[in-house]
Amino acid sequence: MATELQNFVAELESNIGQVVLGKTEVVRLCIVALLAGDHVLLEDVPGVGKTLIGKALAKSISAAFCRIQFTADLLPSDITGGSVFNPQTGQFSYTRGPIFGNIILADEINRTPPRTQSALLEAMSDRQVSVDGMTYPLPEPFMVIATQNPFEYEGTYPLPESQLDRFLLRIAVGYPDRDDEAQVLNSHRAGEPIDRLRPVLDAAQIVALQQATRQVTMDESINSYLLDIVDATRRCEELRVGVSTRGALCLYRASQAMALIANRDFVVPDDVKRLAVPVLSHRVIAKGYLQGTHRQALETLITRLVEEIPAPR
Amino acid sequence: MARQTQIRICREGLYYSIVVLAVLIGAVSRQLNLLMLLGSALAGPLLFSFVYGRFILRRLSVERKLPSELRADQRLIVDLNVKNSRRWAVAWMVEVEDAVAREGEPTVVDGRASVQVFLPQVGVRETRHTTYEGFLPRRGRYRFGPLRVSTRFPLGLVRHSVVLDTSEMLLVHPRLGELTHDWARELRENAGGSQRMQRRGLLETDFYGLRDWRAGDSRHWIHWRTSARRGTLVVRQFEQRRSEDLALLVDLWQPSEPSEHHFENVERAITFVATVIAQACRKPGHNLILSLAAHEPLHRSGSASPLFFRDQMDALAMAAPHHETSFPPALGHALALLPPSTPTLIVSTRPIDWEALRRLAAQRNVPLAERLVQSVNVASDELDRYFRAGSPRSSVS
Amino acid sequence: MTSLQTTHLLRIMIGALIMIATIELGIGERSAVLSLVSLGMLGLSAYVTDATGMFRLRQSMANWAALGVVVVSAINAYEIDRHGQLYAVADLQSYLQYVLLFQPKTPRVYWQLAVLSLGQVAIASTLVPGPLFGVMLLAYVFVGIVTFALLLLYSESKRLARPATRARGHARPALAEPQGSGIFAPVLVGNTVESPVGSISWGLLRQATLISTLGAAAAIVLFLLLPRWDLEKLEVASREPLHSVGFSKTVTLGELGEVVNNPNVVMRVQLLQVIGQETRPFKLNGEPLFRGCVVSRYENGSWTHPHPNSFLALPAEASRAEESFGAVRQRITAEPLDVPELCCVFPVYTTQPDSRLRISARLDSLIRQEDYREKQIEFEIGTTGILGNVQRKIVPCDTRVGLRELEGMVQMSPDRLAGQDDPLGGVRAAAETVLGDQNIDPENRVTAAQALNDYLSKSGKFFYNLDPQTRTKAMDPLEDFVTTHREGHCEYFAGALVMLLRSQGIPARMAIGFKGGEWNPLGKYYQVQQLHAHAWVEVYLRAADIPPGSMLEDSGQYGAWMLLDPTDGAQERNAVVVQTSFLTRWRQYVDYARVLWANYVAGLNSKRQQQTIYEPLTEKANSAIHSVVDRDSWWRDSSRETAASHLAVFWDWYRRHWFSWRGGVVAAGFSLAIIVLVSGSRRLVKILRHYGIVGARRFFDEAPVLEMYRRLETALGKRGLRRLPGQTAYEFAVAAGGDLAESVEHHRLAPLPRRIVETFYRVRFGGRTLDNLEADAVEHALVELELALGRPR
Repeated sequence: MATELQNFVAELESNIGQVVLGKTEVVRLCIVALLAGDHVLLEDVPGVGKTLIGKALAKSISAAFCRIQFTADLLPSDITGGSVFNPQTGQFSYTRGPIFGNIILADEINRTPPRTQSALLEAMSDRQVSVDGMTYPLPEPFMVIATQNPFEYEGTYPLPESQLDRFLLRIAVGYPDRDDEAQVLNSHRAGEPIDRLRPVLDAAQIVALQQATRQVTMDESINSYLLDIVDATRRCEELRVGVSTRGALCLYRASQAMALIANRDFVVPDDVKRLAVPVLSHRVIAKGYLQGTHRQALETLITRLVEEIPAPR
Repeated sequence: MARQTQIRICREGLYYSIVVLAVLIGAVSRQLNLLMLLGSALAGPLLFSFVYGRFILRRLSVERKLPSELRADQRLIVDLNVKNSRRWAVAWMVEVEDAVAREGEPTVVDGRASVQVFLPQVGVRETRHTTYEGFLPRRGRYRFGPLRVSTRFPLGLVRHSVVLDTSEMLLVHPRLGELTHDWARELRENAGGSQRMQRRGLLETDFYGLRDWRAGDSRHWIHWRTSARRGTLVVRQFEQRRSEDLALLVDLWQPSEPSEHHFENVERAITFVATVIAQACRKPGHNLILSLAAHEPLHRSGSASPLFFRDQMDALAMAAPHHETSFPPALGHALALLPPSTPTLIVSTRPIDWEALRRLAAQRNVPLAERLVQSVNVASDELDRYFRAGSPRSSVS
Repeated sequence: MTSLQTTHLLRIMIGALIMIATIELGIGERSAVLSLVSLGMLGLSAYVTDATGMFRLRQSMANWAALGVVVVSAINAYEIDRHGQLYAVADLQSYLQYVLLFQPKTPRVYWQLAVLSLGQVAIASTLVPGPLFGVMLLAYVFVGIVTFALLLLYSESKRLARPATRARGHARPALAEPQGSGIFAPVLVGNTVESPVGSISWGLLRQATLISTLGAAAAIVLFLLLPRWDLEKLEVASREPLHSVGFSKTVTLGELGEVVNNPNVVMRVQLLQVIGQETRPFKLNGEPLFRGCVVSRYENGSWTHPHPNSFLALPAEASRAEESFGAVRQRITAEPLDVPELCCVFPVYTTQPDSRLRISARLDSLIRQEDYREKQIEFEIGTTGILGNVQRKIVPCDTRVGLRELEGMVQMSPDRLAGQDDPLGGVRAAAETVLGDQNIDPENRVTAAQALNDYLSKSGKFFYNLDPQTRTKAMDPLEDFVTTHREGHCEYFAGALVMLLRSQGIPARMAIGFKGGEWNPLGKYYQVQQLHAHAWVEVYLRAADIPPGSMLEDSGQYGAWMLLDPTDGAQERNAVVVQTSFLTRWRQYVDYARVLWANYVAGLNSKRQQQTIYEPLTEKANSAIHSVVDRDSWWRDSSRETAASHLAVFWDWYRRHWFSWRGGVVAAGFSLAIIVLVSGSRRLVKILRHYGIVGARRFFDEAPVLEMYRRLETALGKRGLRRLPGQTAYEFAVAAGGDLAESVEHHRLAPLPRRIVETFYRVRFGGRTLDNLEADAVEHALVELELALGRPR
């Protein structure tokens, strides 16, 4: 692995860290998703910096950044773009929607009806947009950082469980601790710090990093450890639906990315263990009473399952 | 896996032992060496039998795989994987016995059964797969286990058995019946009623798409943003929602000393409710409310979806009747909470006490007359108009 | 396996079971009729009843048939003797089997068939001689085990199988519709597992082999330990005595008879060296001469004993020889024989009184009592005739040799009338020539006898030949042998030598018995067959004649006997070199098997059981305990010494009460204690393992852990830090580092575990190899940790 790439990762992390205070873990997970070439769902109450994190990440990369604010009356074509009649030429021409960017911040994704959500999710998984029989590929790198507020029910359309696994990671941002919060207040005194962010990476470098991620090796024993974890979710009494094969693959990719961030070209068990909760918890469906109370209960459950599996040595 | 081993001499073994003893006693008392030899030769395998079966069973494990879901009218198929982890000894003639017991209060029906599966051999380090099947025709929670693995090998004289403490639970959902055309018609009439309400709140419905404005379209429907972009007026189209919102209020009553007839009524009511929910959940989207006055009252509401269906089935599987003679106030309360436009069906296992219901409604300022309330008494034959319950064993698998 | 195929196999096996039992009976009865009939019935029933189903005996008919058979047999049995009744019962069992064979087969019928055949084997056990019964029994047990296993398979699959309907490729049981509220009761049905027939039958045979081997082992132990007490009359079944062809009290020259190749076993002799308390079997250097009797009177070509012998009971005294030099005992198993004489190496002395034996007044012949002649007897008797591992050529006389006897021993022909030609003149002349040529004084008996012996054996003029010889009719056969036809067998040689000696006034007699026998290296005994019959010469030496050094001081006061075998040299020249061929080997094995059978199976009595099973067992256990007690010094600890002595006292008591009620109870208690101990310790190991104290299993179960990490865990383990199974190495290192950081003395070690694990990860998961610097660093860190944490806190 080229050390300079590694330096970029460190730089990226510290750059975002200037703005997003006290959220090292969340930032790191976002970078994991970026390196794995996948998408992130940030979940929490409003105002804890979900959007900030997305913005900071986007701003640290000199790439096309789009923010889409999802509202109740947002139409699929508002995302993907659509054919517009040009009276001069008398023809329809395709106008690209905001999805054609490198980093997409999809804010409050659960505020829009399922049709519109589907448009986004399809674009996310296919990395292309189909309008009127024409297919338009999305640029590389392509990453969606979606946010949603799970505690609001009025006028929301929560993402169905089956759609959630389009996201590599689901991260609960959480409140910052007291010191960090004080620092936040401090840093905002003189204006928005986010505006001062300078990009440290460009799109090509991101693509190179994504390629390097795929080169990270995983030992046979860790592989089986990973599969043990996945298998445990399938055998678990309290879960109705366990982790799919896609979920296992995601955990694999994410672990690779995590290893790269830690300046390694091999995965260690800790990578897998650390990522199990953010990668897996939104890919399982609980039985009976667990349902509804959802995220936290599931995360606790996954944590417990992982703790029960003997780690390779 | 906790294990408990047992040895029991079979009838054949008893006879055999008697023969051996007779030969040995005769031989020893008369000091006939060759007869002693014969007796010993017979006793050798007997002694061996006492050891060998246990030796084999010690490394035998059984894994049971229950179906993830089961309805009472579905065929139950349970997979058993019997694994012999001995390096060189083949396990012969293994019998696996599993027991099923319905949990909960004892009723007129015995909820227990056991089944034996016989495996002629389980090879060295082999996992042999077998199944047993059957029906659990009554909804509820069933406990499977303990598993008993036994063998009479080699000679059928001694039965060695190991009780494997592998209990598992299976929730058996109520069976489903069939709703008649009458039911569909009633529902349509109800839906027509609720369509009236619909016109008031347009935004409650879903987008379907956009179209150009035509004369007569309401100005409310204009989508201004698109109109601005296109330069022409564009209106929103709404999905024609045939609202099938439904509230089910169930009075699951049974006298404290029930007869078989009462028992069947309760099951019928549950089956009916389950069928209605199943029907409703086939087309997702509309709201369903289930309020159950039972031993443990239940109030659920949600939008119809397979998941909602499954949860309600879980709940109905465990529902036990209550014994209150008066009309359950919980239902009145539930009625009050309902949006006024929701068609409501009261299902009861006894004649409905309308007076009590009206009173309960009045207490909460709900004029019962304005509601779309219908009722079905399961105990009478009025249910037959809407519903045909299948035979408990008619396989729908 | 479909049940059809199981039944085929089952029928074949039950047929085999029946056949073995009847064949065994057939051997006992010495007739093959029953076996053949049974075979025919089996075949017939297999075709008529099982395969085609043309004829099936119904239960009621079968009962009547069985009753009829019983009645007929009872009537028949009424008229015959006890032995015949036994046969009748055996036959009856066969008839009942035939009735069963034609019934539709159910597990019950199979059981009955098996039990009936068992009864036949029980009867056969009283009829079949020798180890053949054992072999048959083994086969019977093997077939029985296979049969029962198949029967089990058959009945179990029958019991658990339900009428199955085929659906979607695998058997699916049909479920009956219950009635009433029973419809709510759960119904479950097991599916049958099918498995290929080939693997079942082969596997089952393999399994049956294993089971019968182990079962046989258990059976042998049980058999040997079953209590025996002395019921002498039942000890050995009596048997028709062998007609002695090789040996008799009188010898008539020219009647060689069937001796030559008669392989019938006469006796087995085991020579035992007495060393302290123990006896050890050994092989003699040279062939032993087992003497049955002596003859001294010669008349017209036949030798007889001159005067009737009177017989005495064996005195119960141990010879002085026992103490004075390495005494030898002979353990002789004599087969039934129609002559009373028993052959052994003389002179004999008794080691214990034996009512079955008598000895002649001159102590020159051992006979068995009338009652035991039809039985195999085993006895032990001492001899002074063997010194070291050679048979002595000169043995002392135990009694004074009377004058009349001496006279008889120099008489060449008893009643020769005066003036008649000396019929043995040629013999006399030959003797004189031999001695004269060598200038030997006949008074010098030893030298003279040796010279005459050499004349016959080494001069090359005489030839040993077992074929019938042409003899000059008019001459005395011995005269003819010495002068004309110098070919003959042992009796001619021995007779000639006696006459040669007597012609010179040297008293001599002919000894008759067996020479050598076949040495069985397995059982370390001599097997003596009829063909080993032999005759040799005993020369009387006066006390003065005894060459110095050949006798112990105090014996020889009555003179001595010098043993001469004139065939020795002659025989050697003709002897065919007998090689240990495969056949000989086989014969030896068979004979040894027979001996073992006779000793430890058919003839196992309380004495032998005590001697060969209980005592060695107790002694082994005793010595084992003693060695433990003596070896370990901690036993000598004063407090434990008393315990040890108590134990010793108890053990002594226990040994003496080995087979009594009390002993049994104690043994049972002891075994129980051992069982409790073993299972307790097993549980303890399990508990220890559970808490990770005994970690042996991990070594086998888990992938090899790199040494460095193992050392780290060990080092941290000393501080009580243990990795949870779900913890990764790094998490553990961080946790351990945190723990170290909190302690005052070790806080500087805190970063070490993490550093080590990071390196470990690089090697373990990254596939790196460490360069020297890194390896040194890790080693250094590990040593630092080990040193710091290794000390007990």
